[in-house]
Amino acid sequence: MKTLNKKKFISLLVVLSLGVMMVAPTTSMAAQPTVNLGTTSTFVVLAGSTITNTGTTTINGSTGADVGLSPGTVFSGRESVTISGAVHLADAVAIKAKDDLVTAYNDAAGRTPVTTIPSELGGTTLKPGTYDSADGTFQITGKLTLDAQGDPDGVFVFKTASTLKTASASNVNLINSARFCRTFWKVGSSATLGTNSHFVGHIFAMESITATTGATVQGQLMARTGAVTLDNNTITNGLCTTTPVTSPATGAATEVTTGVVKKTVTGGQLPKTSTPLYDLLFLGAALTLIGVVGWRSRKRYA
Amino acid sequence: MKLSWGKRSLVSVLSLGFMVLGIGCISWATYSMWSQPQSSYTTTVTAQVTSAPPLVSPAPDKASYPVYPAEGDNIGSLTIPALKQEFSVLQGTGDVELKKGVGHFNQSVLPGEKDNCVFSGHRETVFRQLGKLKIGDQLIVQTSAGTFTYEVSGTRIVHAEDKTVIVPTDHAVLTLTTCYPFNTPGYFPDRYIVSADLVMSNKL
Repeated sequence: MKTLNKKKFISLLVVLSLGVMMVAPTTSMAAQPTVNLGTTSTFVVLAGSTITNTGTTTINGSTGADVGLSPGTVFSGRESVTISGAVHLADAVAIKAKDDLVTAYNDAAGRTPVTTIPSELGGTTLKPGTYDSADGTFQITGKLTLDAQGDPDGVFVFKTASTLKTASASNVNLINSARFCRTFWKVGSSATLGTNSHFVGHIFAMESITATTGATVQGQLMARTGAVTLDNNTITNGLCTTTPVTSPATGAATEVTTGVVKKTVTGGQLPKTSTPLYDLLFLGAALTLIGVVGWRSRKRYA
Repeated sequence: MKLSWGKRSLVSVLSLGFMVLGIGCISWATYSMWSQPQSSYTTTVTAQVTSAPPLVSPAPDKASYPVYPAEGDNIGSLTIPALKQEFSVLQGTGDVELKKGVGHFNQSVLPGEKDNCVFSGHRETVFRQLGKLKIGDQLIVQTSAGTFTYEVSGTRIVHAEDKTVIVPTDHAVLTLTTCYPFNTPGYFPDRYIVSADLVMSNKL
C-alpha cells in the first residue's frame, strides 16, 4: 500500500511540475518580426562569384532594382538585361550589401521555433512560421499556398540545409494578406527555380542560384559565395508598401513616431497589454500546493 | 516498505522548498501588481467636471500641442472617476511605457484632437477594473493642451488581431484597450475595448 501511495504522490508531483512548466512559455508568444534586409533591400540580384544571363531578362522593382556582385566582377550577358536600378560590381555598395546579406542569412537561419514539414511543399498550404525539413531540402512541385490568415505582417521563413528546387511551371500563391516581402528562403547550398515557374520571396543562398528559362520571381535572388544564373527571367522586387499594420511592441513603428501624428492609422495592431504576473501567481499557487501536499504526506513515508 | 530518515527528510525539505518558492512567487507577483503604476486619485480633479456636460460641444479641430512628445514622455494623466483612479499617460505602448502607466498608441492622435486617440494599459495593473466601466462614465484626460472630458459610449470585446479598433474617426474619440479575459494566466486571445466620445474640452 505504502509503495503505491508514494508512487501516486511522485506522479502527482511530476504532473503538477510539468503543468507549471507548460504555463510559463505560453506567455511570451509574439508575432515574428520580419528579416532585416539592411542595404540589400534595393538589390534584386546579388551574387558572390559571377552573374550570367542568357536571353532577355527584366529586373525591376518599386524601390531600386539594383544588381550587385562582390568579390566577383564578371556580369556576362548584361546587354540583354533590362535593369531599372544600378549595377554595382565589386564596389563599396556591393561589399556593404554582401555584409548585410550575411546578417540577413544568419537572422533567417537562427529563427525559432522551427516546424519540420515534408520536403515537398507543392500542394500544401502553410501559415506564417519557420519551417525546415528532415532531409534538409525543399521542393515545390505544383502549387504552394502561403496563407497569412489576414495578418499582412505574417512572416514565412523556410530553411534548408542544402537545396531548394522548384519544378517547371510550379507556383507560389499568396492568400489572406500574405506578402512576398515577408517570405524568406534561407538555402544552405543552392537554389534552382524551374522552367516557367513563378517564385515568391527573398532567397538567401549560401552558394548559387539558378533561375532557368522563363522563371519569374517576385522578390530577390541573393547568393553569398557563388553565381546567380539567369535565363529569360522577370524578377521584381520592391519594399512592401508602408505596412498598414505596425506593432509598437516590436519597434517597427519607430519611423512613424518621429513625425507628428495628425491622423490615426487605419487598422493599427492592438498593443499587447498583458504581463506574466498572473502566470507567476498561478505558478506560485501550484508550487505552494505541491509543497503543502508533500509536507502533509511526509509522515506516511516514515 | 519503510523509508529511511534520509528519504523522509528529503521529502520534507523538497516540500518546504516548493512552499517557500511558491509563496515567494505569489508575494512578488502581488507586490508588482499593486505597486507598479499606482493610482494617484484625488477628488479635486472631478470638481472641474460639470454634472451635465453639453451633448454637442465645440470639439476642437486640433488641440494645441506645440511640442510633439517623444516615445516614453509623460504626456498627461487619465482620470476615471467611476473607478476612483488616476494614472499617468506615456507616449508609446511598448513594454517600458506600459510598466509605468497608461500608454498612448503613438500612431493615433493626441488627446483632444478630432480623431481617434488610443490608450492602452495592462490588464493586471492600470486597466484591471476596466470591465466595470459603464456607458456614460467619464474619462478625464489632462495634458499640456488642456483638460478633455470623454464619456463612455460603448464597450466591446474583439480578437487581438482585430483591425477595426484603431481606425480614424470623424469626431474626437478616446479608445481604451486592454487584454481580455482579465484574469486568466497565459491566456489572453482577446482585447477589451472602451470607446468614449469627447463631451467637453477646456483648452489651456
